[in-house]
Amino acid sequence: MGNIRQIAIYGKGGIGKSTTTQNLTAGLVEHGKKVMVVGCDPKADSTRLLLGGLAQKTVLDTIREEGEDIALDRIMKEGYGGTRCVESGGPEPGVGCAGRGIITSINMLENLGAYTDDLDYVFYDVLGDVVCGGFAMPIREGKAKEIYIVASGEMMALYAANNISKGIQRYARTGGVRLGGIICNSRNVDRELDLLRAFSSELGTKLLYFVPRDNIVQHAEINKKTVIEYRPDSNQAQEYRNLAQAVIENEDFVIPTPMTQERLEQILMEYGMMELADDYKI
Amino acid sequence: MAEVKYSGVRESHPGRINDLGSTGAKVEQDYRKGCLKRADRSFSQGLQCQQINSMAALMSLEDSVFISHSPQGCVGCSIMAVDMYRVGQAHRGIKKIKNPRLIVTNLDQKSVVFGGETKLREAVELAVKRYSPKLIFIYASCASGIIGDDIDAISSDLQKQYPDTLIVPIHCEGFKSKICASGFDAAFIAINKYILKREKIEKQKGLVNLFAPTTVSYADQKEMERMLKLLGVEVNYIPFYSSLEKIKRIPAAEASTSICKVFADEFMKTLEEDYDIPYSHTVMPIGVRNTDKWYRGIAKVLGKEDEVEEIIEQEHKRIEPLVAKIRQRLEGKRVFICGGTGRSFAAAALIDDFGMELIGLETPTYDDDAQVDIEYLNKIHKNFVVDIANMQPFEQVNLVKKLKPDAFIGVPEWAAKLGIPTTHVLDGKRPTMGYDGLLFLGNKIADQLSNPGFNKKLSKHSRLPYKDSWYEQDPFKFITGGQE
Repeated sequence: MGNIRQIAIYGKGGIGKSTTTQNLTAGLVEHGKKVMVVGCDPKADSTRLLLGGLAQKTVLDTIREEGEDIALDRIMKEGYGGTRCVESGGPEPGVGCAGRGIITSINMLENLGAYTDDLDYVFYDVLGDVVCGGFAMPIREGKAKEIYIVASGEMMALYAANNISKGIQRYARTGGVRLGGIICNSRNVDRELDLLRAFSSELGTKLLYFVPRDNIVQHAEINKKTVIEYRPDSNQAQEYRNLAQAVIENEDFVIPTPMTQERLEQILMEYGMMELADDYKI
Repeated sequence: MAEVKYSGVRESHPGRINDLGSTGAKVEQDYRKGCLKRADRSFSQGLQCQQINSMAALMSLEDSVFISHSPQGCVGCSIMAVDMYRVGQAHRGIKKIKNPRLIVTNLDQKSVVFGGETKLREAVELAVKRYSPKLIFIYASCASGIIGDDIDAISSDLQKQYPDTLIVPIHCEGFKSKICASGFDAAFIAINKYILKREKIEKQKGLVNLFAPTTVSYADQKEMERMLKLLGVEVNYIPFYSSLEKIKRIPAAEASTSICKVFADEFMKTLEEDYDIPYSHTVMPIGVRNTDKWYRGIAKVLGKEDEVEEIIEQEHKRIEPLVAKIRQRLEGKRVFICGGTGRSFAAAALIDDFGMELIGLETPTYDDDAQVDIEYLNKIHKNFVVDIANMQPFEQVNLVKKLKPDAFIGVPEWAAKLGIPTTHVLDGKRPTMGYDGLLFLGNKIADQLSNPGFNKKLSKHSRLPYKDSWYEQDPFKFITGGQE
């Protein structure tokens, strides 16, 4: 298990973590990499594009219905390009403890021997905010050592990214987890690239890649495919290949230095809001 | 403005201290000046939790089923309440001794992830089918609390399904409070909300609510009832060994009082606010002075001040020669006392009857009530150590070894192993309270002093788990913060 790169993807809810992770995975597959994607969100929609639909029974549903004595192939499905797809799942909204559910399903994956030596990458696609200890499970001792945060130039996305960095900082002290960088999933806001660069550098990390906004991503999603599978020749497919290349080559892993709310707002004023105020038109 | 509601967590009252090492004189002064702050221990031994106290408070109720919505381990501590209940039945002459009907929902890994609602519904269904009880109490636990199982909504839904059984959810999640009495409060808050419902009923002249915790023996119950009957009142003894009918009679009472001053003080306050029932809150009736004080307290509420003085005079005449005899055996002996908040202070006052000297006092909480007791004790005893601790045997044995008392009165498990004569004061099986209880207790202490053979032998054959070096150290070294 020593040479598997285990990577956790965090970021604000709705920022495009699952979309980015799956398209990135498709890019890695093209490089000949063996990838497992573990969805850590009760909504269980982290592998939809790789599997061509919500075709999978979650780990927790399987445990609930069949007990704990199950075979690995009951919870792991093969998706696009031989990727291995697992959805942790969770309780119905409003009951139980989704965080404990993540802990249970990751333990189950370990017990069932899902982390085989032929894997190059394991991705954990985690629910928007790290609301409790359970959602930090993927970055605890012996699991993901690398984290990427998906963000955009919007205030709340950066606020969430900064908050997540606080969690990483905590676990970095004990578990050795490091931040590999920020991935921008562009929302086409003013001076987004500059803002994200400044934000990343303030966090002590770098902007790993800037994924531009393109409607083709939505088209691919409607067709239950990654962009690389749906339109391999499109510009956006190349962007995701580039992102995959950036991840493969990345060697900068840091303990982030989260900023105060005041500093965060200062950066926003510097790169976004000031000009917005000047250009205000209806 | 919205009504301020008591949460059932005793820490919510300002000025209540849990952890402190001091002396009688110093603690009185510091508290008066407002210099005591809530502290903590950097090392602590096990404490009781809120859930177990909520359970213990009600587990002797007739026609009831108790459902612990928890993992199975949470009911492990119910063994003490079960033992008390079984012995209590034997004392009350019950031939067919029963266990409390206790069901645990057994929350496991799966229930924690998916919610425990199904298991709770099954438990209630089983309880109704098997026992057709008049009451079902549902106890929240740490696990059900953390995952947010909505026991209120589930209870109210089940209530429609089972209209002949009253279903009462109790919010006693164990982690909420370090003060064990919060568990009693949680139980009473639920009783008020789901059984009494703030509905005023017709008052019954001469009816008095007498609250008693589980650790009060049957002999003590009879003694307190005897004393109250001398005042010409009828006693509603609750909630220990009572029933739904007796609980429903609570709002009909003319007055309330409690044997333990900590057990029902919050609830009696609520009864005054919601049902206009005045109450007496004084001390625990242990020792002549405290029994007098307790007795006068309830008599005053009932407007029977003259009657009570007459009775007290007669009682004194009767017991004073007997107390004097015990005093001959105990005079001048140095005592260390440990117990619940009510009992420890009451016992400290008791030893004055026998001319004993207080050298150390361990009690779980310090607050306004404790201050009144300490002011009194400081007038009699000049120099004693105060340890504010919910047991914490490691501190206790360190202190006891240093102070070398002639006798230990309180919860004796640890001091007995040091070979010191010990007397249990939380004895739910023998008399302690009132004028008659005092005589029994006094003789018990004296007998222990004249025949400490058992404890001496015990100390030779068992040892406490601490290193010798611990006894050289400051007993309060692990208390952090607290004083300014």
